[in-house]
Amino acid sequence: MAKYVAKRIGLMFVSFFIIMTICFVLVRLLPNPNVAVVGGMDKQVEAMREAWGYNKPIIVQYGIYLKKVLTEFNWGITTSLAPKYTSVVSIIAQKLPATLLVNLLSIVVSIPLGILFGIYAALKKNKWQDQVISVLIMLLISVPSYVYAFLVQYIFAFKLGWFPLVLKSGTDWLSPEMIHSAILPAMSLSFGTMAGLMRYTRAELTETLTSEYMLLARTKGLTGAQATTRHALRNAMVPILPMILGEIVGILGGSLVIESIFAVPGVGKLYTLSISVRDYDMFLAIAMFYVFIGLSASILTDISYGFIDPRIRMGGGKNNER
Amino acid sequence: MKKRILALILGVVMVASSLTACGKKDSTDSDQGTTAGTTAAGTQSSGSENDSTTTATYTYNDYVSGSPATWNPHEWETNSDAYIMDYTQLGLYSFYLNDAKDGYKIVPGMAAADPEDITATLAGNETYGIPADATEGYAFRIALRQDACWEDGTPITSEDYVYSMQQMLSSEIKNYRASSYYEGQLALANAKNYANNDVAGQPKYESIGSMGYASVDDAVAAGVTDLYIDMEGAWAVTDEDGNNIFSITDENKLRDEAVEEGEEGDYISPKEVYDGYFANGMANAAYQADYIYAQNGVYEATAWENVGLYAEDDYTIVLVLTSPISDFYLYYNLSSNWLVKKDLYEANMTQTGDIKKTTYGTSVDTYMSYGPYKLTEYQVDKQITMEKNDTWFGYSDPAYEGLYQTTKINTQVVETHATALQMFLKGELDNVGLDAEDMETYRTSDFVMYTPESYTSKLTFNCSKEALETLEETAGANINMTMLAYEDFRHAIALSIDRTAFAEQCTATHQPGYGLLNYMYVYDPESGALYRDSELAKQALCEAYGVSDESEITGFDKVQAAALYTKAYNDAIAAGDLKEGDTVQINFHMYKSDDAYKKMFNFIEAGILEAAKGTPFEGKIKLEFVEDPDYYDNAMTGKTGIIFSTWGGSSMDPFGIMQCYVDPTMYHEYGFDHEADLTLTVNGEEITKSWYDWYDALCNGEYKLADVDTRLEILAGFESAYLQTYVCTPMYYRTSASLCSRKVTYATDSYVQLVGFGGIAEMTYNYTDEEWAAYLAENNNQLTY
Repeated sequence: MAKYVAKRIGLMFVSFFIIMTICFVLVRLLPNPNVAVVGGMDKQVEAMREAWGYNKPIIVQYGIYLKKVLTEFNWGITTSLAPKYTSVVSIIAQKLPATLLVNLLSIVVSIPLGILFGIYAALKKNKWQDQVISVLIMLLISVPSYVYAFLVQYIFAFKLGWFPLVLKSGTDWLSPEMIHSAILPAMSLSFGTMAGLMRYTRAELTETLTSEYMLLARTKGLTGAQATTRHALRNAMVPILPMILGEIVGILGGSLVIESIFAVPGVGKLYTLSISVRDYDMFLAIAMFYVFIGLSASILTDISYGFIDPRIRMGGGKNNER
Repeated sequence: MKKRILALILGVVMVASSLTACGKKDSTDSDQGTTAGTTAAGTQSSGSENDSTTTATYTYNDYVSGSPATWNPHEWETNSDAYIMDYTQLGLYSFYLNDAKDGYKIVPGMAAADPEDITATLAGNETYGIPADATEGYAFRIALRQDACWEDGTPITSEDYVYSMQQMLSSEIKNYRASSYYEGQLALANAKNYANNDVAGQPKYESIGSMGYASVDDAVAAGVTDLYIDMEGAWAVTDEDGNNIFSITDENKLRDEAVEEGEEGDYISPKEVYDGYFANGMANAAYQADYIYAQNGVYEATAWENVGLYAEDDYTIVLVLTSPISDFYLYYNLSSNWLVKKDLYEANMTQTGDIKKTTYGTSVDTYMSYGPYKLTEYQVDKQITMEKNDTWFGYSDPAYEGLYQTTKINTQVVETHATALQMFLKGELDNVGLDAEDMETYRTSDFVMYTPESYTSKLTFNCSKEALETLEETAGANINMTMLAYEDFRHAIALSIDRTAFAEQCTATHQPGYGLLNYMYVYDPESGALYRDSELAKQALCEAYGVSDESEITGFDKVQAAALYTKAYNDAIAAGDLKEGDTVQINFHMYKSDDAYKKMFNFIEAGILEAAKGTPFEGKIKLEFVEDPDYYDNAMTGKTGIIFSTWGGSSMDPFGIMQCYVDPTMYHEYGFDHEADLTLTVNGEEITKSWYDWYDALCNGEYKLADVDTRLEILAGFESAYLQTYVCTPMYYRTSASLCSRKVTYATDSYVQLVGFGGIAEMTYNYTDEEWAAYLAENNNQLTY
């Protein structure tokens, strides 16, 4: 197992390096955005680009970049985004808490509810409860999250006044006021995740509930509930867990639209803006942050299979074959 | 097992109860929740309760769509960046509403008095290059306020100005705003060389126009031997290193990214561009002065002491310019400042690549205010808070009495319009922009404020018969597309559309427009006189629309339109351009095919078809909607019938806008002949030039420095004549609308050039923060406007 994990981690860094190289090259190949600058300022911009080394061959630029990253953990500075000429790492660190707050709240709500409703629907398969949940799932999946965002904002914040219209300002992330103001954006984000989990859990559980081993379990004398929780649910979780881990990784990405509607100062906007304004260092730093999280999550997911389902063994050695 | 079931049930109950708890908490905290957006108001109110015996507080709750990236005066780029600067910095001179609130006045800000013109005393100075016979406009002595200080109380002296400018122009820093002080109206003597000290000794290339030559022939006659071409300006190409200046004899090919690789023209040499387009007799020979360059010496290593800004004493600075400047533009350019606080500027300086950069002005800690307000909070993409700067001299100067009632400016970053509107209606914001849908609700509100923009939108016609015939070739049998080449037909279309109804029904806030220039343009900066209000401009429109008084202009006359349709029909039949039974098709290219564009299209189509009733064209005109994101480019190459085009520019320079209508690289009226003759009456004398030459004479040539009345006469004559070519027809003047809160009152309802509605300086409050909170509570946090 340890050998397998070590191998995966090694491969992870190889993948990380390859992706970083591709991202670096592709971003630098984008047209120079400052060509469009008119007036006298374009000379300054061109001079700055020259001084920053943007006119050097890409391979040279990449060498400089790698050296800084590896020796100083210096991922560069912002050249267009606020605050200007500031370390991109510090900006990401400033903005990540808001994204994490909203998205963690969303996960806290959506994962348990999604799984519970999914289980309930599976257990009540083809009954009216299942039909209601299925309709709900279709509704929640087919309507984009920003529609819910506008609706919940209008109803709960504007008309009823139960919540603030936007996220509270400040950095007191765990204060009751801050959490209170994060409920609506979290709620808007959670609908889609919840519906996905409901659908997936229902489908997986329905399949396992009709498996032959469930019949065997019942004939052994287990009650329906015992068989469901001990066997069906555990097996059903094998494909569901990666989905949950994927959701958890996804929360770090933030949501551009939800952040925009509820004025959440998160990383969602940062990522997209960094591309549109060609803030190279910012884009690469965020991209590689997500790549790292994604690759780590995939290793964690693979390892977690072994814990959820003892039949699954890692490493592919002969001893693990069944 | 039962325990597990119980645990499961408990889990469900816990989740459910936590949600319920949230709901209960929200309802009990509803006041807290609804006032959360008005945090400043709330805080101020509670503060005001505590300090009720002292002073009332007035918080202005504003919003912006994005955080400023920097408010370092040396590096700012966008309007968003300028937001904090507008409140926390102050120019040497400031613009305020005049006493009648219908214009602006200029008052000293950081300066103690008006600038003293000392050109005569420096005339002939070789260091600064002031001509020996110069008497005014080159050098100015400015006395500084001795009570001006930074927010921490440190006095601001002339050394601060000198240090700040030295940093601004430093070639080691390469500040974004440096060129504002070495090029253009406020170019300081020797500043350009100083800013280029890092390339000292290298050739300095300048356009032959800026060197005083009108053409290549002039330059050659004056002894210029080596000529160069600006390939970026002339052909939008550079080499791989971004170089744009090449010898006109250079035959090395450059990649033209606008052409697919492998297709003809994918690579082009400077020689080909010059010989084919800019040489004498070629199509763009008229632009030699702009795109043909010559070497004008080399960048000389320049000591800071030779740059045209120095301190005479602790509170007096002297500005020496490279070229004379008029009084207005001196004040105008000095209404923004370049001051930075030395210790913070240097403490936040780091080497970045091969240059130095400072993070001055990117957070509260890296910035020092010196204006009416000081920055107290800044959270990226979320919040900006500014409070009264108690150390600002204005609060103890009687000259500023009655101004700056606002005690705190609480600005949130809100990107989504719907969110901003809801915040406004809950009293959490004190202004909100309105879009087209909002106007259906708020058009009649007393709280709507209209802010004119310098843009005019117009219908632009393709009037080239050849281009229209090319379009017709693929249009099918019995389809005629060449009628737009007939002036009477275009005139008839112009008269078919009710602009007032169009602006009201098809646009959010815009006003019907009849001229090329709207009410934003100031033709005489010294007096602030608006072009559109001048008698000559009014007369120009009356001539163009055939009425005797400006108030009679509607641009809508179905009877005359019908007569013109009939005349155009008969002429076209007689010329063989149209056959009886033909259907006239006009391709109307629009950016998108959404409801708003369709509505505009349908309105115009209905107007044309209605006006054509009873004429030979009845039932024979068909407008074709073409969705075309590249409609501007296609119009410039004659591939469209009609488009909507919009032009605008610096509202302080109405003359420069003429370029948009006569420069072939800019105008969209395909088929318009900018080289055709135009005769205008100037000071009682009839003078004939081509359309382009009139623009050139007015903006670059013999009328550039003419008296204001002469320039006005030329501009008005130009506008009237252009409108009567019917190559385009103005439709509306662009205007944005916003709602102003009941809490505040602006100094004027009418927008005034340069000062708007008076801004924060002259805004007054109808409620203190405490009263406003009470008012909101009374209205259940739901306001109507």
